[in-house]
Amino acid sequence: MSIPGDVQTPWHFRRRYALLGIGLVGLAAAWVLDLSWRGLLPRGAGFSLWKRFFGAALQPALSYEGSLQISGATPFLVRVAQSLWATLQFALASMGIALVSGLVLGLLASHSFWRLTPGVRGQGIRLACMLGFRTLSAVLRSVHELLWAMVLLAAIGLGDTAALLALAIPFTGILAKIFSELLDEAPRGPSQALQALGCPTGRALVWARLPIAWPDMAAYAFYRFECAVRSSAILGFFGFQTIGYHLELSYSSLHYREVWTQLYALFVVVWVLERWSSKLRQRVIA
Amino acid sequence: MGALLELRDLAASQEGFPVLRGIDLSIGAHERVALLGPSGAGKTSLLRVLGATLLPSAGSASILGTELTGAREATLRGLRSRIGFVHQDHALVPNLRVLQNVLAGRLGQQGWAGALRSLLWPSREQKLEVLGLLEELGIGDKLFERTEVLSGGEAQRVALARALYQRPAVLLADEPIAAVDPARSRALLELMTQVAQTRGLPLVVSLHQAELAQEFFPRLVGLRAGKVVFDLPSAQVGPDQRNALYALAVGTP
Repeated sequence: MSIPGDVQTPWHFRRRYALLGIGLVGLAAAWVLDLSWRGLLPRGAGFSLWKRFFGAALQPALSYEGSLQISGATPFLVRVAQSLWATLQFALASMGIALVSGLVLGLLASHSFWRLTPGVRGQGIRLACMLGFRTLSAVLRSVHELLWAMVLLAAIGLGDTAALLALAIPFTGILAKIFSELLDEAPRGPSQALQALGCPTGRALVWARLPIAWPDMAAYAFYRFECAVRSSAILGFFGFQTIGYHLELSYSSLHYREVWTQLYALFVVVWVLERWSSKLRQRVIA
Repeated sequence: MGALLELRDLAASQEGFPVLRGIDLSIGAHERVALLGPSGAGKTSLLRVLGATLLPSAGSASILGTELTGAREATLRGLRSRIGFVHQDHALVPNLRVLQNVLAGRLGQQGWAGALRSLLWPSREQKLEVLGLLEELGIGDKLFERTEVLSGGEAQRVALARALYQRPAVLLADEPIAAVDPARSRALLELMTQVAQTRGLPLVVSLHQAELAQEFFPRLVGLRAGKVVFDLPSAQVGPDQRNALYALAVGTP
C-alpha cells in the first residue's frame, strides 16, 4: 500500500548509486590510463635520482651547494629570506586588490543587490545586469593564475605589475563568486527591516547582510590568501623574483639540498600564516 | 487636522493572494490601537500597509498625508523613514553591537557616507543619544553588547530603540510580545505605550492576547479573513466580539 506523499526518488538520483557510479568511473579511468601500483615505485636509474632527491630532504642546505662559489654574492639563507619576502609581498598586494574588487563585484553579482523579487519593476534588466556581472566573474576565474601570468607576460612584459595582476584577476573572480553566494544566503529579515525604515537596498545590504555574512567571508578570504602565497611562489617559474624562481634554478642545477631548504621555508611560512589566520578568525567570529 | 493614517475601501494582495479587502480605518494623532485576530487574519498585512511597505491593490491609503497608490519609490522611502516599525522577530543584525543596530534607525535619512561612518566610526554624540534611548527603555548597560546574546525581551527593546531613533511620526509593532515570556510581555507593552505617549505618537500594535489589548489600548480593531469585523472602544469589546474573531466557523458560510 502506498502512503500519499511518499514519492520514491528515481534510482539514479540516490546517493548510494551516485557514489557507486563515481567509484566505478574512477576504476575505469585507472584501467584506461594503465595505472599500476608498481608505477609508483622508482626503478633502475630513476631509483638513484629518487634516493638523491629524498636523501637531500634530511640535510637541507644552509649555504650554496656546489664548488662554484661567487665571492660577494648574497648569502644563501639571506637570499631565501628575500625571495620569501617577495613571495609574500606579491601575495599580500594582489590579495588586497582582489579583496576590494571581489567585494564590489560580489555585491554586483548578488541576487539581493539587484532586488530580483517579483513586484519590483524592471526584473528583466535587473536579471540581465546580475548575469552580466556573474559572467564577468566566471570569465576572470575560469583562467588559472599561471595562464593569466603567461598572457600578461606577453602583454606587458616581465614586471611587478604582471605578477600582481596575474594573481589579482582570477582571485577577484573567485572571491566575487563566493562573496555573492554568502551575501545571498544571509537571512533576509534584518535587511528587509532596514528597507522598511526607508533604507535603500544597497545600504541595507551593506548594513544587514554583509555583517551576517562577514565571518564566513573573512574565513574564505584567509584561505584564499594561503592559495595566493602558493601561487605567488609558483609564479617564479615564469621569471618573477619570487621563491619559485630560485627553486627552479636550484632544481635544474640538481642542487636538491637547496631545493629542500626553500621548500621547508615555504612550508613554515604557510604554516605560520595558517596559525595567524585561525587566531584572527577566532577574533572575527567570536 | 485630519487622520494621520487613513484607509478607504482598501484591498491588498501578497504574492497574488488577496490578504485585505474593504478596509476602512482612520487613525489620528495620539491614538493607541490594537489589532486583534487569529493568525492569517491580515494583521501583519494591515500593519505593512500602514508602514508603506505593502501597497494597496485597490482603494486608497493615505499615510502621514501621502497617498500610497502611484507614489514614487523615493517618496515611499522618505515616508518609511518617518514610520517606526517593530517587527515580530525584532529583525536585528545579530552580530552587530546594540549601538549599531539602533543607529541603523536613521539609515533612511542619511547618504552612503553618513551610513558608513555610523556603522564603522559612530561619533560620541551618536553614542550618547543611543545610550539615552536605551536607558529610557531600561537597557542602558547593553549599549556595546553583541545583539545576538540578548534575551528576547531585550532584543525587542533594542528594536523599539531603533524605531524611536528614527524620530518617527507613527509607531507600529507587529506582535511585539510573541517572542517574550508572559511575565515580561506586560512590562514591554507598558513601556511601548509609555514611550508613544510621552512623544505624542500614534501607536498601532497587533496582538493575540485580547485581555492585554483591552488593558493597554483604548481602541481595538478586530480582523478576520482580511476584513474588519469590529472597530470599537476597548470597553465595548465583550465576549460576542471575541467570539466573532476566534470562534471556528462551524456551519456558517
